[in-house]
Amino acid sequence: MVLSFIIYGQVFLCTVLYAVCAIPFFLSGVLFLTGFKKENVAKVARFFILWYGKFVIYVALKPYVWVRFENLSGEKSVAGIYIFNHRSSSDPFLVSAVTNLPVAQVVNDWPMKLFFFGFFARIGEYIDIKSMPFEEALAKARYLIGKNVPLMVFPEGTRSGGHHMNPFHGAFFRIAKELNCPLIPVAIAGNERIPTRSFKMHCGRILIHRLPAIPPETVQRLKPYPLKNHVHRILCEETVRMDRKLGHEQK
Amino acid sequence: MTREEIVEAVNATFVEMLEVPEEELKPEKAIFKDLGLDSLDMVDLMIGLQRRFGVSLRQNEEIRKIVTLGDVYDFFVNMEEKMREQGIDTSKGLGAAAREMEKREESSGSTPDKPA
Repeated sequence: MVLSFIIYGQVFLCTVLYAVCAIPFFLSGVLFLTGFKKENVAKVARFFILWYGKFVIYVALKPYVWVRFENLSGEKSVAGIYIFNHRSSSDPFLVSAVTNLPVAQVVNDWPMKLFFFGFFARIGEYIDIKSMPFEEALAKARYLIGKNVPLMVFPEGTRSGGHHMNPFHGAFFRIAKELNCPLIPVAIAGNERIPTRSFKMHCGRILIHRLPAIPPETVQRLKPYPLKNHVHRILCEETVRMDRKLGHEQK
Repeated sequence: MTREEIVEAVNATFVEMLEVPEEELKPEKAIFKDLGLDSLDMVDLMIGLQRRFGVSLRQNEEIRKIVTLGDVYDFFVNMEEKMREQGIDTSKGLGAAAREMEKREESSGSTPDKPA
């Protein structure tokens, strides 16, 4: 309980500090760089969200939580669909470790309703998958990928809260097939209790591994169901390895 | 159709439309929880089942009660039994039987308007 209070308090203070420092730059960016065009404002918003995420995971959580990102693919960041496993509510922050490209996340409806974060998620053109039909999600994804914006997707739809992975929803695998874009699996381990499903915080180490992309040719060759299970299997196997490395055994 | 033929046809549809490995197709497996199908996979599956059996499933409320693969088998077995109980020949397939059932319903519905 005390630890949770300390960590959340520290993150809150860092958020206030970031907001105080960054908002003048954000507003200047909007005023002088965007011409008030919606897509340019969105670019600026995504840039600030990205660096807020990096600030939280590399500064605000120290010394209680250590995050290490490893690019096992050796590939550069590209605009594609990044597929993450989803253990904890810290995952959306951890996404910012994976790339220096401002990204758009695919979220459920509730993050969009949060007071501070929801505002920036909306202007950053995040995709609220719960409130839009497939065709609309496809159109929005086509627009964002066309603008070279990577999409960050958690196909389990909700946190597993443990070492296991829930089955995947297939929408963004179908979207990858329609857009003929690569799928990039990213495995996260170590954060299943950072925080828990009841938001209790713990200290720990978090590993993030970016894996080799599944090229568009493979995405086209497989039907949606085996494609999502193929990626599911890749992430399952990788998280087992990562849990072993962290000294946790999967149950 | 016998139950075995229905099971074979349903399984073939799962393999054709979704490439679900045959060894996964056990009657006790829950479609969403164990086989990992989502709502979009279900749309593909329904299209495949409609094509294979020649019946329309769109307005069918019984579909919503399906949880396991065994429920899918039972759904088509029950459909076939209902048609046989109404004296409809199901040997040419459920599609032909469903069309004959529609014709009978239309003709029984229009009987009062026919001249004596």
